Amino acid sequence: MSDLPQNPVAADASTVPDLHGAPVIPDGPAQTTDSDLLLVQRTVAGDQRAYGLLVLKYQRRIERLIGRMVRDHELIEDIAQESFIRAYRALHQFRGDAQFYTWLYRIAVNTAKKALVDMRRNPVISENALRSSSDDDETSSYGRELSSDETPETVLAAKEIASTVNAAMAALPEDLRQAVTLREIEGLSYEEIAAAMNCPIGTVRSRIFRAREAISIKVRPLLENQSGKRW
Amino acid sequence: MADADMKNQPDAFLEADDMLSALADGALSEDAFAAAMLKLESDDDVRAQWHAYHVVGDVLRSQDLAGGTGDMAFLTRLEARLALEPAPMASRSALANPALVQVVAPVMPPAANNDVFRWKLASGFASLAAVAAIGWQALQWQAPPNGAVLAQASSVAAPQGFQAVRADVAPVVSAAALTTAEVPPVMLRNAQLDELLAAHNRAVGGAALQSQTGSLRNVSLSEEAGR
Amino acid sequence: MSVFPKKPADDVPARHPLRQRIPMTAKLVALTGRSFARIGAICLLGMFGMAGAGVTQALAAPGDAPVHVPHADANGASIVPVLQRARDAARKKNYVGTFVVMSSSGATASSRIWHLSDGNQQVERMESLSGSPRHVLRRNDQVTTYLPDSHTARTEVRDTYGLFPHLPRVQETALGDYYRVRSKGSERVAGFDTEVFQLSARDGLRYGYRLWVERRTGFAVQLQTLDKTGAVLEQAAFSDLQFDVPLRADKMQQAIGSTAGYKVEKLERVRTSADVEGWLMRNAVPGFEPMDCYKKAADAPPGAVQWIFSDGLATVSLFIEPYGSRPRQEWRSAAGMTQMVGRRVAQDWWLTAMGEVPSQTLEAFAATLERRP
Repeated sequence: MSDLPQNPVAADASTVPDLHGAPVIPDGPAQTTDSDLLLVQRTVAGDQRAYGLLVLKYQRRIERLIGRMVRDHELIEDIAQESFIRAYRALHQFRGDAQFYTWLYRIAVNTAKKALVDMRRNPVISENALRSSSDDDETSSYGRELSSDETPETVLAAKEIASTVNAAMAALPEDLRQAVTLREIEGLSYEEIAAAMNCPIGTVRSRIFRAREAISIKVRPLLENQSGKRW
Repeated sequence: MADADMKNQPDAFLEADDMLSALADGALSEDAFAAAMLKLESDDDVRAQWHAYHVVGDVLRSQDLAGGTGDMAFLTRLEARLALEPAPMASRSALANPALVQVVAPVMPPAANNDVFRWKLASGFASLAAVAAIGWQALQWQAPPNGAVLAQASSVAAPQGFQAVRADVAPVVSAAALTTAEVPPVMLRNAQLDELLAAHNRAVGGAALQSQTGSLRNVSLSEEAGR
Repeated sequence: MSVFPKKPADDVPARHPLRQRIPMTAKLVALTGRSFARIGAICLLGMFGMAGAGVTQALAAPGDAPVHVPHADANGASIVPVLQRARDAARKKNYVGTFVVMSSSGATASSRIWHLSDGNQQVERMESLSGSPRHVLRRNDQVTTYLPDSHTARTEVRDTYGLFPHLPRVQETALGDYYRVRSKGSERVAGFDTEVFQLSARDGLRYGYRLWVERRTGFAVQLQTLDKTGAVLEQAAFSDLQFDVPLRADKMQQAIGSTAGYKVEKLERVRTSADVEGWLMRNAVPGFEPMDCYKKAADAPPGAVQWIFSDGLATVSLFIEPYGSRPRQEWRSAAGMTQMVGRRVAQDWWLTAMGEVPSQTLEAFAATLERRP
């Protein structure tokens, strides 16, 4: 396939130095708990659509990140697009031993800064396009002022999505809610969740799937109201 | 994780979705992964499901990530641009052998005024909150002179102003050999000096970051060197 | 249910909406203009065995009452408890953060840090976010640095750690002789309320510092090193920081990934004394007291003896080796804010002095270093 590093395998204890002093921590296989590396490998192998799945996964976080530096929504989107393109070009350099998102994050930050530098050199760009330093505290989308290009409709859409997710979570049976919480919020692997919930891994997988299904069924209609504006 | 039963019914809607959920969690075997990818890429509906799953996950972690109504449009635009890109090369890592030195003209601190300006920006004036974020490597106010020689193409991994060291390069040259009128001083660093710096950084404290701060400290030649 | 680690990839701390009423904010993730504090890397990592001569004040446990703020122009002694508390907090708290160091040349380096402590034992992991990939795993005083590119693991035992590691070993009152301490009020950094302190050098032999200390825990969030004009030489700090994150040591180890086939390099050095090695200082360089002395292990390739000095804040290393047969040229240079000087000493010896001090200080060391008769 590609020359990217294989999925991490169990560390050979004899080549890793012993560490003295309690607690003794056994070397174990590094666990992949998501498919990022596989998707990267697949993209590098020529499957561009695999990259689209990574974009759908991380776009919102990347845009939020950029949104801390830049106010104008179209500019945020442009910088986000640029970031994903730069990441795509550099994909073969991605070292599988770090988190993909960390790597992507850095690219996005660099792209945003470069854009800001370019903009500052252009005196025509209005200051409003950039965040002011008084935005010291991030506020949530609730009660936050609109940034330019953000309409009440997009904020409303976001609130609706959030409240739909919350309500759907609350409506879940306890075991499904617990499983999806441990996976999505605590970031545990299936094995860890199985240990925590004292059930087989197959059950974990099924519970997470059913929880996701139950929530996304209510959220999908909201997502498919394509207004062209993200928020 | 036995996926054989899943493989036997690749077209059943439920199994495909379960595969999708497991795929998102990195819980699929290779065969199942390939099958799931096939479904994901041929069926827009399944891709919309992938999207919905991840919106849900994001919102669970952070309410202000709620959104996503414009994501598909964003992706469509992006894919149009990606179609124009050459396919990413499955080449080996471009990172150089650490024993190799690159002799590069340094990013010299600019005139005093600019220094002040940069630090003002750095301390958060106005819009360059970007300065605050990690990876502040792109923000260079003075590009290296054209004489700079880089052994590797620039990548996001290589920090500005830091070069690895080639052991066979002569030790630090006395700046008496240079005049200020000449080409900007070159940054040289030899393996021995690196070792001493590392030993010193150990004494300074912060082992986990010793090599990090060490990496910031580009050796530059002072005009005053030598007696 | 036991404690599980958070995914480090999220740039926002995760809180389930159903667990808390308050809408999610990103307070702890600061990408504000001031948030990139720089902590001379030295600040971060916890130290152990810290009881030192002269430190008599009781230390507040992290999370206790806010730190006592020294009055303006207070002498140096009143800053010592602040610094000690910061050292303690770095040692005892659980935290995860992104650490950014920035040099006046514009170069930066950043990393992600996870620190786990049960009050005594510590496990710490660092992953470089810039530059060549590097993972460091520390367990108490055992440090292993993993370099994936070269498939190498370097191991060593560290005895100097954390913010101003030599501080406990100098006279508490001495600090005031060489630094003037001022409180600079409060500031908000990385989403935290901090107290700011300035330590200005009273003479030209050392640099000054500005320190931002988080109110509640006493944790040092940001540090600047200043030259005599007050210009910032280096800045380091957390651009985002979370305390009390549930962490697990085995997860931290596993996150490093596969180390199969790594070559192990062990740091070989031996404690010695300057006396035994035949060195003395004819006159002390004001403020600087000798700390430790190391040499290479017997079976390692020969190298310089390292004699370490500190005034409690700044550290100077003198590397001394035989002059050798090839002529050498005296030189002066710098690596970031670490000044370096190469000088012939005691006729047949070569000194490489380095430290986060003005180069004239290194010259002073070179001038007064003597071979024992």
